[in-house]
Amino acid sequence: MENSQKLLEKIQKQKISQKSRLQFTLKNAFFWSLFTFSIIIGGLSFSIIVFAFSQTDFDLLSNIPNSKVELFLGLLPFFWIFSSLAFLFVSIFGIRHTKTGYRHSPFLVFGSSIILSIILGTSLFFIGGAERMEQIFAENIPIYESLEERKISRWSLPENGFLSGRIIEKEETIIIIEDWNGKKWEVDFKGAIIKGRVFLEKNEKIKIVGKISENDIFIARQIGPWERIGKRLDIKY
Amino acid sequence: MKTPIQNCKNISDEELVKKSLQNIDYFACIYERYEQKLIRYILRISSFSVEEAEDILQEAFIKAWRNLNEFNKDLKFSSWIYRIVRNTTITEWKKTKSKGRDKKQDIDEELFRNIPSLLNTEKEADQKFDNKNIGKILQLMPEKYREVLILKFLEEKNYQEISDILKKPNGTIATLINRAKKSFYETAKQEDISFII
Repeated sequence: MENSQKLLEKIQKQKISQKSRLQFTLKNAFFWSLFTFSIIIGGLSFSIIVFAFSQTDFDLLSNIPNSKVELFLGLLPFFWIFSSLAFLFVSIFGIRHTKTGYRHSPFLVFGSSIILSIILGTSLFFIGGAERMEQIFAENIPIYESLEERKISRWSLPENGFLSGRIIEKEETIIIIEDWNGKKWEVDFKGAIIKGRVFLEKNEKIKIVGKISENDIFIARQIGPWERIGKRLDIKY
Repeated sequence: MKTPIQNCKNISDEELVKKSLQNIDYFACIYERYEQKLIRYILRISSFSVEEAEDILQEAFIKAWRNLNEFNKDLKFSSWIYRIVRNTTITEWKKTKSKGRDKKQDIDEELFRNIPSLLNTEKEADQKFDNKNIGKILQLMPEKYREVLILKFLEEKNYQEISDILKKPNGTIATLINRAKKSFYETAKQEDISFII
């Protein structure tokens, strides 16, 4: 018997059926959806990275004498960086598993996934999606440490030179602030650099780089606004 | 009832696939059209005997039958069936390897007949190749290089077809072929085999 006849007999005898076209269409659609979904999530993550950087006071670090690298690393939004990278790889995995995804060069796939995430992420940042997403995370995921919480932790280390809080009183070269734990500090800002948008007014939230001189007395070297939106020329008092 | 193979002669592969979905007899036409080529291919990429290669081909065609609805005109049918046959052969080959039977003792010279094109010569009269040696070198080469050389120079596939069979981008195929050629000469040198071109 010819081999072709043996094959037909085997197929018929074992009742080997064909997988439906729908099954293959769904499989292909799944990988395209995975790619699209990953680009969207990757873009969202990237937008939060941009948001996190926009809220970080890298310029204030210039006046810090030591452990800049350590501090810089502490400022990086690792969760979102990791999330962006993870979804970037998932998107590449997705497209590579579509029907003809293997035909595209890995560099092209990698590059276009990055570019798409950056475009989407930057657009989301500018329309305020990043901040909203960050808020949703902070409100709904208990173990998630929001950017604001991280900022408070970072700026609540007076023994390391970082202090922040709300101004409750102001004198000529001294202000009294209440930190986030309710402790009051006398801050001497004589000779300090006052960064843009700081008016040293009552109820204003600020952050200070300096050192403790005595109990509850802090000598400021730089003072910046708590919220970081824009800049104006620095004023030296 | 079997479709006489003569009736299939002028039908394209793609048309045969369509017809096979309605009438299994046409699937026999596809099998017969590719049987010899694919058995030779299996023998080239493995050390199976002809009988074993025939069994593997049957197995591969059963897989093709199951997945026939997956085939579409994005690629040539020959690339699609070569891919299935290659994957089935590799799976079976790995099982054999684990049983410690992974080197061919006798090399069939006929299987490596086309290789002169690999050596970039056009003067057939000057070709003095020992096909047995070529087969030996190919066996000693890393698998990723061996398989592109076989597809390019023995199966005479173009870059796009090789890309579709191996599921790798065109650029990668071009790089692999270049490296494979180098690897071929290096292996020949190590084995002290020279070619007069």
